[in-house]
Amino acid sequence: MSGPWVDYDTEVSYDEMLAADGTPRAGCHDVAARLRARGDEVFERQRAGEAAIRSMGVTFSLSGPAAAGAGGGGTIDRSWPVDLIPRIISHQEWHEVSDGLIQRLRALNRFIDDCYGDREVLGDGVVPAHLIDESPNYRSECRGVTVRDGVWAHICGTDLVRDGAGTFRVLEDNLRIPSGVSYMLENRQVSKRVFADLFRDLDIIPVEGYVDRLGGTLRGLSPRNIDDPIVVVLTPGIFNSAYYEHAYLAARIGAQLVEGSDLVVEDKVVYMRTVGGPVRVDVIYRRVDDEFLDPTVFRPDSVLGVPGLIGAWRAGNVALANAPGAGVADDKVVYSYVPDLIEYYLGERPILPNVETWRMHDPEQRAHVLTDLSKWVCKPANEAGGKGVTIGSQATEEELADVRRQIEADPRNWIAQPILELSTAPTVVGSDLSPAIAPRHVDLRPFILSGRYPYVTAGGLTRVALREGSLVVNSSQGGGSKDTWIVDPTTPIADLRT
Amino acid sequence: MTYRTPSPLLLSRVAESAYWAGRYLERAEGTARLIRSHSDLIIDLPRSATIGWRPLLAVLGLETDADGPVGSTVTEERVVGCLTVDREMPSSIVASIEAAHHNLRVTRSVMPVDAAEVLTELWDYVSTSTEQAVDRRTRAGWLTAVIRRCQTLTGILADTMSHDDAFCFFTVGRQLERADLTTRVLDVQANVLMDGSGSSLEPYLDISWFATLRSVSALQAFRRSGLPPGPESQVAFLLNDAKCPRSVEACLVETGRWLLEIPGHPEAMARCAAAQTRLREARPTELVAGDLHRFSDDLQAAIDEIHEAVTTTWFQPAPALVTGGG
Repeated sequence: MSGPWVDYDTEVSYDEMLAADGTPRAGCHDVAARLRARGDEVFERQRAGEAAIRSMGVTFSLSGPAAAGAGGGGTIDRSWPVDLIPRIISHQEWHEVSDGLIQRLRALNRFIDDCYGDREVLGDGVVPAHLIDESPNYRSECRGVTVRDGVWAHICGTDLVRDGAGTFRVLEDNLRIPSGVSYMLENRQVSKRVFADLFRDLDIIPVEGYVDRLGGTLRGLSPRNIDDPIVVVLTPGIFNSAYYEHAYLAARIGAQLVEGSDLVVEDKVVYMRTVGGPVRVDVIYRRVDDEFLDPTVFRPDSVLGVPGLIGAWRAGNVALANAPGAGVADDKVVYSYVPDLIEYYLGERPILPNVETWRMHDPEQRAHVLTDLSKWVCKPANEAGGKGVTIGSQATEEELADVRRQIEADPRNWIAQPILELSTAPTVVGSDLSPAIAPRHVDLRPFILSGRYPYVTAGGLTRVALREGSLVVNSSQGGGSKDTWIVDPTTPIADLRT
Repeated sequence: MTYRTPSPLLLSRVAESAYWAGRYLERAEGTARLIRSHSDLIIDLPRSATIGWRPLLAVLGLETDADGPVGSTVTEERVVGCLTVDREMPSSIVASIEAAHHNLRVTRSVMPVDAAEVLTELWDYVSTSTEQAVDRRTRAGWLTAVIRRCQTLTGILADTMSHDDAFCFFTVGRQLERADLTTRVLDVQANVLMDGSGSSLEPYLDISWFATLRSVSALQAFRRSGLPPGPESQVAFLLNDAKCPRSVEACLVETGRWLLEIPGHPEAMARCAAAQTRLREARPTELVAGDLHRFSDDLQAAIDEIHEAVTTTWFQPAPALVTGGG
């Protein structure tokens, strides 16, 4: 063995590709063998991949402080950062994870439906009622609404991490407006260009099916029983950091990309304004937060929403995906009850474990955590995108004191988790002149479609913390991404000599 | 079975953006041509000539007094800077390209991917090479690079974009902007130059008329037409020639042709026809004798009415919805 892999450290944490002794893990054998045999060629491929990303125009937006205002002029488009060395998971392992995710979403949807319906779960004392009533993502306006098949969260992005022992654990569920799936799809396009040989020789499960399944799931929600229901993607507009994805998905599922001002409600029916006149809308895949959806119901200052939209939805004249109020189940305190919810609703053992979670509204648990905050990750219960998360071991004294104050002031809205050593994956690091391969921490966001035909993406979006030792994978904070390959190690491989 | 071409839905907002993308792109290209031709003209004029750079500001509708954007001293650097790279000037080349870029981003879902790439390139180019636009030695190259890229973009759209409603709006925007610009050029440049009759500028009048034609890229077409050189024929050519794509007549014919493709066009078509009628009333001899300014104003108002009709018909939110049909 020679070249860039010689000094690769397999013992930083659980490594996705190589076991501690350097032997490839299940599903990784062929890829690892080829990458090692070809040495520095991987750096050329990395550059080719980056060039492909630029020419494909795959970008994400960073929003500066100036962008927070109404004008939003402060966004910068950056090329999407991709590391070309794939993150590989064996088909067998993925099968089990998929089952676990579908099980989880069945329970979560039952729970949301229950919260806005008969509230049996609260009456039975499985989850304290006050937690739900106090949750900022609980929408009392949704009480008594019936949704098709009892599904509220049609599209979910669940973040998975591996602990030191290599076990997949659920870190959080994103049941409101999860993003990133377009990058999963684009990463695959790029790695197919760059690793055409590997795609020819290995059976790598395609990810492109997601788009059709998403389109099918959305069309299946149409309140009108017609052949071609009108589906639209509702975006906050071009200054939103995920606008690229909104446009990407709309184009691929054949939906109109609309902004709030394009829609109008009349007699509890939603129409969009076209040059040919108003056209009735059946399904809205909304990428606008709940509180901005309808200024007559939620925030009156919202200019992103549509007056009367919630009324039309309650009347059953338009479907919203995800349904408003679904976020009540991705409150991180509620998250800590999900294993109980799976047993309560489904009578099944949870397939995927949570990360061990301590509830700060519980005085004993809080006292325990507060004795030494540096050993914990503290998270606000209702933020998204890593906002407000403090990793104790990497925080300053002032930051820890600040978190302590916040927890003591509002314990209901905080949880603590032990600091996990996220698994690592081989990643190209260093400059173009002196590139190297080193382990970097990764997580994984698969996307789950719920409805009559549940679906889990083949893999998902692997995010990688590009800074050495960093556990922060968010692209807004210096994170990158990888293509995720679900590979069946038991199928015979084509000629693998290089 | 015969194939029936479907007409995909087009949001009013996206249609409006396509229209403005067309207008701004044409404005950028037209302004570049204008500056290029004026820079040539200035070199040829005697140093005593008073024409200077003010006419250019006037063509683009900018104030030319001391309170205007350029101030009281109209230097070449300031005017050219204002018209090319000043992002605060709504009609500068950079501001126009930025606006076109913004509008095309909205229409990304209906535009070919190649077009977006060229526009991003164009935006990167103009926003990173601003000093080249002002310096006389590099200016012609900069302007030509802008014009070429604008043409690449419109070429891609014409040849690869489905000629659907979005394309119609884009093209209508371009044609109206072009008609407007040709009218302005005639108005201002012709007036200024006719003031020169009998003055020391007289020997230079022919070259400045050529500059006028060149500023809308119509000089070569005029020469081939076989018309006798002279103010009357040149005015008539720029107004009424049916074959020169920069003449007001040709722009209005094209506008009407694309409007006709869009459902709900009667009002806009009527405005377009009215402008064409006005145009055909042009009497070159009278215009050259002093009527040109008033006539150009009328024509611009007529063009503006087409714009208003397009806006109210398709872009503004419908005041009351026709429900029931669904």
